Amino acid sequence: MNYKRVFKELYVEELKDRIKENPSLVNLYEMDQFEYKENQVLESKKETISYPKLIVPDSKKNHFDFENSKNIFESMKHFSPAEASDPRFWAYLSHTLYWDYVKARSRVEEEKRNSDFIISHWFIDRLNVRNLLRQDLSKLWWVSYMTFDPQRKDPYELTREAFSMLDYIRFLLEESLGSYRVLTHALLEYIINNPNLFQKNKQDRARYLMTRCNLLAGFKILGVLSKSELKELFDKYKKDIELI
Amino acid sequence: MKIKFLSLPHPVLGISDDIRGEFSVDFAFKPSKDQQILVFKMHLNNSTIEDLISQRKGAYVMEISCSATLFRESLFSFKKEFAYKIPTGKLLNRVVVRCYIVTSADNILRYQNNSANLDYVGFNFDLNKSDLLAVYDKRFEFSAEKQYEKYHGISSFMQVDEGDFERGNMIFRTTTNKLHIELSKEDYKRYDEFRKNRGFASYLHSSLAFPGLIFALSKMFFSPNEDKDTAWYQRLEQLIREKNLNFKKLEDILKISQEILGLPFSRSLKDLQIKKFEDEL
Repeated sequence: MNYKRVFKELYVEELKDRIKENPSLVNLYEMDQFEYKENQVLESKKETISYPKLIVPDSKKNHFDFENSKNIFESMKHFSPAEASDPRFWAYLSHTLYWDYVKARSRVEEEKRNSDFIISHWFIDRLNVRNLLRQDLSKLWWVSYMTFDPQRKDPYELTREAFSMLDYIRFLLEESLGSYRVLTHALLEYIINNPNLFQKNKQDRARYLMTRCNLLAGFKILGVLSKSELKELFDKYKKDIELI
Repeated sequence: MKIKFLSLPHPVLGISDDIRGEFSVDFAFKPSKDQQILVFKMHLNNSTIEDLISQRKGAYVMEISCSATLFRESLFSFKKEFAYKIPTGKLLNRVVVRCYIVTSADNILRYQNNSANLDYVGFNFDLNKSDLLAVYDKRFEFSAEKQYEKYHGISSFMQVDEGDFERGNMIFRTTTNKLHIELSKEDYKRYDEFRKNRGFASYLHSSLAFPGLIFALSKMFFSPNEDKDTAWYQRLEQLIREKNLNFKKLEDILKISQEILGLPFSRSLKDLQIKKFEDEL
């Protein structure tokens, strides 16, 4: 167990400003460790966290996002959403304890990177849905938070599905509609429970359903519908989905 | 939902001149220690929609969204007045509230509104659950804090830090969260001694918080879109709204800063007077 530590807010801004003003500093993000100022760290003696070991991705294909998300969320399940939105916390972990993980997950040594690349993977520049779901560590907590369902036999069944396709994060959770937890759960469940319908061309068919939801939200208040009512709505598009 | 450009087959009260009548909402946000309380009072003047609500085929809906915490919920009620409690911690920074009336039952067949525009005469519509009946075109916004204590005092948007330099001018900086006033090590040491004593609060407000606030408000005035996503900007916007202050001219900056700080110079003069009196005793 370790005390919760965060970088001071001004220090986070300083680190970001340095990268923006001097793009050559991105090379620092290939080093074995990051040199930071200890006096710029705040430690809470009231809160301890049992930080999990994360599986470091070994290739483009095996990200282990689901496993890491589950472990991160389990160790920080007590966080309120407001606490989990703290850019200082995620910046600290990304530069210290999970330095190797973020380097590997972002593939910083292979990708063409500039200051924007570093900032999007190591920091949360502006606090909004997109940045919370793009930063390599905060994404792990937030996707689990949005999909975790303790009523299910496997509470992480929807999380597993959410990480099976990048589209779920880009076109569902990052959209304002995805913040409707009931809709996110209904859609993921619908896809899981209709394996035949989504066996072929799953990505295109799932994307079609997500697009339909966005269109419906333009003139209906989907948030008042229950999960079963939403699934009945999705059923109306079955024939269209089968044509894809 | 972008109401401004919405055009539906059926008439909706609040969109263009579809229906005669009125739908408006009074909203108040009341934070307390453990929860944030949202209070709504609906005003509706349209008999057809009122009838639907009394039959529980229509309902008032409040859509609450907060992008900083991926929070989005639609609450519905058949009552005109109600309060909704959200635990502290679920919301942070800008929260947007929009109000509608929607159908709350399926198969509302042959819907017609008695006060619809003449263009709709002779037409009726089959509606399903969650279809819009009325919209309130204004949206409410407020800024939610992590902790209840942050709602009071300037620490909700301003912070004094020790800089890396031994001596010199104070530096003002804004981040995504707050306005920061960085003091030299020498100044910070003295500041740290005095801030623990409430009797010196007014002097610190006058000499630190007041110029800091002018700096922040100037940023808001000259670059209104640059920092809109930041917590300090949203918190200041809320304070300006709560105090019913105008923020249209450059001159307003001085007035707003003094109002927010409760006339810091006057207070520091009063405290100086008290101190002088005490010293003379």
